Amino acid sequence: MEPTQHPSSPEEKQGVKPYLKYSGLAFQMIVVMSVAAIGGRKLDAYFHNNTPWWTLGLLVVAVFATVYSVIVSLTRKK
Amino acid sequence: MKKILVFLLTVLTFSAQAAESAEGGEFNPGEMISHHIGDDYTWHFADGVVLPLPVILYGENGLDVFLASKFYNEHHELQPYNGYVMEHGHIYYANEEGEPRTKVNEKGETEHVGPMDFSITKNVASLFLSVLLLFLVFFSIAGAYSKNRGKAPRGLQSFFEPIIVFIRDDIAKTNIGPKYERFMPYLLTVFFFIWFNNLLGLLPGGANLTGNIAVTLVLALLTLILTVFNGNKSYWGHIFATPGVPKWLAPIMIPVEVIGIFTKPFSLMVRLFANITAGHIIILSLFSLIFIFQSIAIGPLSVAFATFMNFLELFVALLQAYIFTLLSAMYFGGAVEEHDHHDDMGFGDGPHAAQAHH
Repeated sequence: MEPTQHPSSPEEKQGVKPYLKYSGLAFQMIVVMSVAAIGGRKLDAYFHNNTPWWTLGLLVVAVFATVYSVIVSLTRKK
Repeated sequence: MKKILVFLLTVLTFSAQAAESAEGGEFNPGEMISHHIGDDYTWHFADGVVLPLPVILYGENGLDVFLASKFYNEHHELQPYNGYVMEHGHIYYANEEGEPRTKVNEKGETEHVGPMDFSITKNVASLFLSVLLLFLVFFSIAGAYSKNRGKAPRGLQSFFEPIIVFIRDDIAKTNIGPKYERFMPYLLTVFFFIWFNNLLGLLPGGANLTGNIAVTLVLALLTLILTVFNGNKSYWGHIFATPGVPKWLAPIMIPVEVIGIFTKPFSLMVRLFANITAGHIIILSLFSLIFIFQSIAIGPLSVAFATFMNFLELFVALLQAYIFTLLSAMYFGGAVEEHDHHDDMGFGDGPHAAQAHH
């Protein structure tokens, strides 16, 4: 195949690909928060906490971490 | 997996179940559908046309090979055979009463005990068939390329050439970049494997191979292994020291990025499995309507919708193969990307085109 000049092709091909690229992000958020919740519950059971501080704390951290990682991956390339 | 299936079946066949219980009829759409999309020891092509498949068991009695028809008596009822019994699509050791033998596990729950099962089930038979078909098609194409070297493609070759070129130019080159060549065998194999098996699954009497989560798990695992083992310095650098992220955030970002390595193939696995399984369930649910309502008003409508859905599924078969291949290529691209090269989208027509190979 002869490499043809594509002055407009990058913009043309932007149609469906950005959506596909980030289609795995939802799973990442789900798994990160599940890991935080399960780990938090395990830790709370281990330390016999009356208030589940580990679960609460790790979930809050997980929410910020996932949102931050989404922002980083969205802004990574322009 | 079972929970997902049960959930899908509950949601999609809710109206069907309600209609059936009011009438008190014998037809159970949920059972029919789960039978159609699940794996089995026999291949049920149509009513009365059943191919028994070999059962291969290895356990306390050594190796046992026999046909699955041995589990059925002349009235098509289940019966124990040779110390084994089949219940709910699994084979267990039989006790004296012909019931599955049970034992109590460490958690105090009773569970059935069975041998290791290497049977050629419906899905495995369908897999072999599709591999045979892929070999036939692609060996003939490969032969045609060496025979008509330099000439225009003919026959099968001319149908598949544009697809192969599309995968190379629009999936591999644009997403992987200059190092696309080493991933071409995998991308082409995975594309045609998924596409062929999606289409075979849509044939009447076909097995739902790509709607089996074990099959999609293996495909996703291959993508994961290829991504991880091809990952270069900049790929691992993005995971363990993401550029532009302050150092003190590393304890939070590293776990998130490491989880990200595994969730990408996980989403590939679930996407293919769910799309294909959902398509099968929708078509089967539409057909179930005929038997639920048994009315001349519903019949043609149901057939029309099912036909429409079948055409849609033909498109979905191609689309899912494309998406799986495209996303695999994107993950490979992320793994082998160099961050100092010119942005030529892998075409090799950037400022350094002389060194690039096409």
